Parts: sequence; structure tokens; C-alpha cells
Amino acid sequence: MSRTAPPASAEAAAALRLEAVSRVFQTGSRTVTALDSVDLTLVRGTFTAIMGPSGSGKTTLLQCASGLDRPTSGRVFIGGQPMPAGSEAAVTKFRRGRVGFVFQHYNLMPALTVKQNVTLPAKLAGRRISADRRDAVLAQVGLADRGDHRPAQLSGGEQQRVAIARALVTSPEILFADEPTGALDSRSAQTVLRLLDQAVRTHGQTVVLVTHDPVAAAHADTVLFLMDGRLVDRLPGPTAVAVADRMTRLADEVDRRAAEAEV
Amino acid sequence: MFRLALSSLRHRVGGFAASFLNVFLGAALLMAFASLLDTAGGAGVSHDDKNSLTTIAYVVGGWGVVVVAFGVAATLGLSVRQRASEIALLKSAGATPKQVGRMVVGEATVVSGLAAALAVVPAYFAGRLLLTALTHAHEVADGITYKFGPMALAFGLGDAFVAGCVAAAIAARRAARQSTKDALVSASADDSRLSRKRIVWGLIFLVVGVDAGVLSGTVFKNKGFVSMSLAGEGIVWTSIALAVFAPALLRRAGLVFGQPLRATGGSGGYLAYLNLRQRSNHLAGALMPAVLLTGLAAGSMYLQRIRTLALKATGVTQTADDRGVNTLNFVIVAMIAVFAAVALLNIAITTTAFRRREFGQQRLVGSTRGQVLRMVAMESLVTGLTALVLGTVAAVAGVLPFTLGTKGASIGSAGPLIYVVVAAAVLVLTLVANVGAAARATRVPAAEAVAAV
Repeated sequence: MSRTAPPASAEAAAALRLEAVSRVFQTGSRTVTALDSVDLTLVRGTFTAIMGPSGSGKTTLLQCASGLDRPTSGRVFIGGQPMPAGSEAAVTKFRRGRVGFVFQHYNLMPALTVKQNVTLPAKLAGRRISADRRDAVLAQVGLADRGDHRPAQLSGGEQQRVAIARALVTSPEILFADEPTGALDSRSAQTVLRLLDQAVRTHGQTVVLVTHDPVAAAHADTVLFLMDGRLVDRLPGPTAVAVADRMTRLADEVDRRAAEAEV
Repeated sequence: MFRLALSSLRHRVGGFAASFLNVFLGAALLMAFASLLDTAGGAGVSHDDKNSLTTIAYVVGGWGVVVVAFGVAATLGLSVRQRASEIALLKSAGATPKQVGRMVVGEATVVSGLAAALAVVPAYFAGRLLLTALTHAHEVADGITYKFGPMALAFGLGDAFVAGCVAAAIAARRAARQSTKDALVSASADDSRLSRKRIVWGLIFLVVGVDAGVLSGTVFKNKGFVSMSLAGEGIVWTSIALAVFAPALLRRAGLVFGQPLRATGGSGGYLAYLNLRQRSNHLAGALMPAVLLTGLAAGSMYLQRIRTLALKATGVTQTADDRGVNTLNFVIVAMIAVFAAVALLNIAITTTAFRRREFGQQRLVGSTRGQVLRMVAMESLVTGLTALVLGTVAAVAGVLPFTLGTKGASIGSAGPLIYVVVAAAVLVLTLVANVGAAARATRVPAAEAVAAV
């Protein structure tokens, strides 16, 4: 099972493909359908934003697509290869190297220096990252001179840039960013978004961005809108105003349905 | 603030269980021995018996008080330090350092008070068993009436309870003084250099320990039970002194074991090495009870074995009484060893369970559960081995002068078996506690472990 094998079809060339993915949570006697049979194909080298009101299933979608959670039904393909159904260890081994993550709260290891944090995923996968490659990626995110610092010595924006370097260094098939600017001031947020943009434009990286910020979403090629676990709308070539407008309409729709349900 | 303390207790019963258990066991242990003092004060106890009872109570109480005080302080102090972020939150919501202190000490008072009060019942029966054992060993005359009174209560409350409250107050004061930012920073990147205060205390304990050891082999040599107890005292204080230096020593151990760890351990060894170097403060917590356990268990059993062999070598035949004393000694050591073992388990489990989020982060970036567990196993192997080395040094500090001062005795004659058994027990305890807690902490999905702050 070589990862470099040529894809069998154009379909398989997709960085990410979801086939009828559903995720149902059972809490006591209540059943919540967080994802309702979602189909989605993302082509390599694209930048996609996923938006939706709270509770629309954004986080669940991201977790199912990245292997952090398992769909109740349906299938997930990354780079044309199916996510294994086996143990957690099998899924972890599958996703490392193929999937990069950037989280809202950075999730850097406190005991490790910036350099060590960046090379950790490769180390866990038993692969070596050359010092040149590591330094090049750190330079790419503008932290060439911070390699020996520890996370606690960096600002939030800098920590998030380390997290981006860590996600990019293995050249993953796809990079998931979950509210990466949620904890940052607007200037640091701009820097982070520009870096993600750059990764797509100049390095052909595929990026999926989950956010509630219309300005952040406007950096993407396409915005997908999620409501009640379904993809309900898509907006190519988004602007912040257009995104905000759609979000307002979605929120109204949610209110209207809630009112109907009460009647 | 006291009401806040009570509601906080109700919501985190699990978090306080460890402290509760330690105070409970410690108080029971001390009260059992201290009840001998009450018994000695009873009517109709002969002068000799009074002497025997008070000697045993003070001698064992001497180690016991120290071991229990430090064990309880370590557990309660840890439980406060682990709540740095909660305390920072309270302060940002407007609580003054004084109010934070009152809340934390309030919790400690309720937990240790309750534990010490409940310990009265088992302590009563344990004390009575002790008296029976002493009677059987003919240390005291038959027919002494067992009494459990003010001395027992004073010791039990006075030590376990006060040690718990004082430790909580000190930890709370430090936590309350820290600014929110510092709390967050120190929670992640710690400095394992020892403060001057710490070094001074460590040196004082070391001097006391070595002094007690030397006394057992010089001024108080060949005094049977007294020499042995003094040697035991030497072991306890030396253990504590070494435990005070533990973070710095563990960092050094990380350096020593670093090469083999990184060479053979894969990513687990690599991370274990970095954690030992960078976060030795966090990992050093379980070292104190482990050092105490090694030093006390190995040390006092060798003391006894060497004494028995020395008596034999000088042609003194062992009487039934001697064998009785031996059994009694063994029971005493076992009781204190159990206390130290529980403290070791408590602290190891609490420390490792606290790393749930860190483990989650590691799994998010691609670590399998197996890799996390291997990392923890290697960390605890190094921690366990360090504790063994330090405990051995502490044991030698008591056993060596005692042996030199005892006619016809040699350490070599006692054989390696005791040491091997104790060493194996300490290593297994440390490994099982840490890896078990890590296995539990990694049972939830990684995303969930990281989200639950």
C-alpha cells in the first residue's frame, strides 16, 4: 500500500472525499444526528472554508474527516485511500503524514522547543525530517530565529505559526484548521490566514478551514455552509460581506425552524 | 469562602480521595502507636512496662510523625498545585489572595479533619493488636489494660491533620501570590533549579539524618532497640533530604539515562528524555515516597537481619522474646511501608492523570496510545531507578554506622535477597501506578481529552 501510487481515477485524486458520512450521538434516550449523510469531494490544492451556526456539525465534520472521530456510517477517503476501520492505533498511523492539524488552542507540547515541536509528528511516525526542511518551513512562517524557544515564551500568534509549521512540514495530503484564529487578535489572525493562503497558492497544499469569522472564510476559494448536519449551500469566490449575508440568512432559518418546532 | 470550599469539595470528590486516604492511613498509624502512651499512663502499669511502652511509642512515633507529615504534605500540596488554573480563574473573577487561601485551607481542613476523625476506629483496634503483640513478645507484662485517649488523639490530629493544613496553606499562598500569566507559564514550562530555601532545608535534613545514623553506631551503639531506631531515624531524614533535592537529581538522571533512552526507546524514549530534562519538577513528586519506601523497607529489614546475625555470631542464642521483638519490628516496618506505598501510588496516579490534556495533544499530532504508554513507562523506569539509588544511599546512611557499631556484624553477611525484593517492589509499584493512570487518561478520544480543560 504505497502512498505514492498513481490514483486510479480523477475521483481518487481528490484530497478528501466523504461518502454519505453520518454521525449520530446517543446521550441517554436522546439521539442527536450531528452529520446527516454528507457527501463531499475536495480537489487537491484548494482552500475550502466550512461555516455554519453553532451546533450545525462543523466540528463533527472536521473530526470525522480527519480520523479523530468515527462516522456512524459512510466512508472517508484521504488522497484516494479509505480511512481504516480498525483500532485507534490503525487510524492514527493512517492519518499521521496524511493529515495536518491546526487547532484554536495551538496544542504545542510544552516541554519541547519550537524545532522539536515541528518535527514531532514525523518522529512519532518513525520518519526523519532533515534539518534543512525543518528550517525552511520555520522560515516560511517567519520564525527562523525562534527555533530554540519553548511555546510558553512565544505569543499566541507565534505559537499558532509554529502549529502551522508543524502541520506543513510533512507535506500532508490535507490540512485541517479548526478556528485557527479564534484566540488571536486581528493582526495575528491576518498573518495566520495569509500563511494558510500561501501554503495553498505556492505549495499546492489542500486546506480546510472551519471558522465562524466571515473575514477568515473570505480567504478561501469556496465556502461551504452547514446546517443541522447537512451541507446546505456553497459560495465560490467569497467576500466577507457575502459570507456574512449568507450566515445571517442561515441564522434566521434556524430561528424559523425552531419556532415551527415549538408550534 | 468556606461555603465555596464545601461546594468545591462536593464537586471534586475524586480529586480529594487521594489526600483523604493519605491522612486517614497516616492518622491511624500514628494514633495506634500513640495509644501506647495512653496505655502506659493507666493505673497498675509497672515502672518497667511504662518505660517499654513509652520508648516504643516515641521511637516508632519519631519516624512515623516524620513519614506521615511529609507524605500528607506531599499529597495535599500536589492537589493544590494542580489547581493553579482554577485558582487563577477565581482571582480573575475578583477573589483576593486571602480569600483563595481561605478556600484552599478550608477544603484541606474538612478533608483532613474528616479523615483523621474516621481513622480513630481502625487506630483503636490496631493499637490493641500492638499491645497484644508486645505482650506476646514479653516486652510488657500480661494483663495491662488497653487505653485509647488524649495522647492518641493529640498525635493523630496534631500530625496528620496539622501537616495537611499547613501544606495546603503554603501551597495556597504560593498559588495565590502568582499572577494569572505566571500561573499559566509555570504550569507549562517549569524551572527545576532548586531555590536557596530548598537547598538549606535539604542540607539541614541531611545533617540530621547523617547525625542520627552516626549516633546509632557510636554513642548509642549496642543498645538494641534504641540503636536500631536511631539508625531508622537516620534513614528517614536522609531519605527526605534526598527527596528535597529530587527535581535537580532527576534532571541529572535524565542526562545519565538520556543516551540509552534515545538510542533504544524510539519516539517514546525521545519524549521521555525531553520530559525528564524539562519537567523534572512535575515528575519528581512521586520520588519522595519512593525514596522513603526503599530506604525504610530495605534499611530497617537489613538492620534487623544484621542484628540477629551479630547476636548469633557472638554466641548469644536467640530467645523466644527476641523472635517476638523481630516479629514486632517487622509489623512496624510493614505498617510504615504500607503508608509510604500508598503515598507513592497516590502521587504517581494523581500526577499522571493530570497529564490527560498533554497526552491528548500528543495523540492529536499522531501519537498512538501505545506510544504514549511507552513514553510514560520509560519516564517511570528512570524515576523508579533514581528513587532506588537515592533510597539505597539513605539506607546505607543508617545501616553502615549501625553495622560498624555492632560487634560481629557485617553488611555482606545479610545477603542481597531483601534488597532485590524491595527494589523489585518499588519499581513495579512505580511502573504500574504511572502506566495504569496513563492508560486510563488516554481512554477517551484525544479531541475530547484536549477540549476538557
